[in-house]
Amino acid sequence: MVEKTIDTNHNSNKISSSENNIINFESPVLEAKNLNVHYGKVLAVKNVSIQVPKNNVVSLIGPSGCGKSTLIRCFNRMNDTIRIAKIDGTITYNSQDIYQLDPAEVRYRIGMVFQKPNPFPKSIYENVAFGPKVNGVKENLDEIVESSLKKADLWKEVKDRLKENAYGLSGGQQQRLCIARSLAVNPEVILMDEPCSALDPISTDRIEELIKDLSKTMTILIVTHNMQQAIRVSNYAACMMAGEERIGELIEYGEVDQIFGNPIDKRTENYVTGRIG
Amino acid sequence: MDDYRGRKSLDLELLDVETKINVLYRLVNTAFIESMDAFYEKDLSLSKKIIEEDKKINELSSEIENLAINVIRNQTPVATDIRKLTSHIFVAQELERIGDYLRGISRINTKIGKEPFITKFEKIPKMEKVAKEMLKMSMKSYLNEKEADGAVETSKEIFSRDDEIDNLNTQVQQDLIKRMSKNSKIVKQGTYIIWVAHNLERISDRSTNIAERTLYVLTGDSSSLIDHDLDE
Repeated sequence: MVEKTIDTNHNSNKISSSENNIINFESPVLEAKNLNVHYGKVLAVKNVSIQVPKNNVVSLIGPSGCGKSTLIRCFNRMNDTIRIAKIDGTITYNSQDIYQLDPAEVRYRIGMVFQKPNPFPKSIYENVAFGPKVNGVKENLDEIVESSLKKADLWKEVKDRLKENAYGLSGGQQQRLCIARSLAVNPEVILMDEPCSALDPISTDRIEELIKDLSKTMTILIVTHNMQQAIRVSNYAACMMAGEERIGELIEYGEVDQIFGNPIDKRTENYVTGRIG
Repeated sequence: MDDYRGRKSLDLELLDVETKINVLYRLVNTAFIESMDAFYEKDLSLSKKIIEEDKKINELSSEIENLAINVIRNQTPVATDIRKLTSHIFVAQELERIGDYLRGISRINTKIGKEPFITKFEKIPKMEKVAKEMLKMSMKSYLNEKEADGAVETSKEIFSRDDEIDNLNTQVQQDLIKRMSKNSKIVKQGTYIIWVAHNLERISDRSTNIAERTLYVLTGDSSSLIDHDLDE
């Protein structure tokens, strides 16, 4: 049977599963309501309502092209950078409409880690110090860099080579550096879009341990195609699916035990057992 | 659901395990028929054959267990798939234990030997009939049932028959103990016959476990899985 991996954090603020298999929470840290995303005239994500509970790990799963990345990118306004993207519905961060907030502020509070590690072509130190510096922080940068690298489980490996170029690090180290870079500005949420898909099993294991550790104090929303990874790291899982018209919808959202043990929606069962997707 | 494409290698491997479970059930069923026939007819050579052939049941049960573990290792199944595979291991073990009870009845037969029976059998054939029906119902449901509602109905029927066989077993014990307390010469065979009844009762318990396992596969709910061993 599937085991919960993060009992200490397991948020019991869930309210109930509504009729359409979607779990709700009291005081979610992130919430999308009736979200529609268009790219030009093409509707990519339709009527998604989802709540992300504080200090939990939520996995977003579903076949390629079902809108997972589009959805996750809405939460820190990354879709603002795509000219043809148009968003309807509301997205709130701690009950505040994120479109009423400064986009830079949103991205500090809600960090993001991508599929492929994308360090800046700078030193390891400068990569981590970049966010705080842009934010106007001038003091204690050394402490911020050290503590961020420690939280990202990278400090021991790089403490003697902080001035070296980040590109000299391995893929797994680069990804942890990117996580450290996000952590340097003290985010409350980290969005991760397939953070381990380019990594070997050992690097993957370290990132997964890191996710579990970080979720004690922050909220993580992760897109993954790796079912076992979703089972290992998350408390809740949301399954998206695109029908014939290739429009992504949220079809089921619940505790990870339920989604991978006994899903309600037959399409979820078919996806998690590898029969569609 | 147009994107449904199945999962050929997993589906084939699941089918392979299921087919072997079916073969194991057939072997056990044959052993059931033969062991009871041999008992009533005092066919000692048939009993010896059943004792010898129990090895085949044990080997096939181990084979199923290894096969299911390999499928779990190779395919990392979830949801219904993993419930099926873990249940196949469990059901193979239940069938193997039923084989052991039948071997036990055959051993008792060889121990009683050609000595005339001390009793006319009335309740034991009834127990045999009920136990056979329960095994058949539970395995038919396990191998074929696709809907939880159908499995629930079958399980209810099996659970009620389990009570019936428990009562019969108690009656056999009480009758024989009463007679043995009056006649020490029949104690040895009387004890053997009590063991035959006991083994039939245990077979029915194993069938009940299989029925519960069917419910688990179809509903994902293990709360009804009761360890009948604790009832002894």
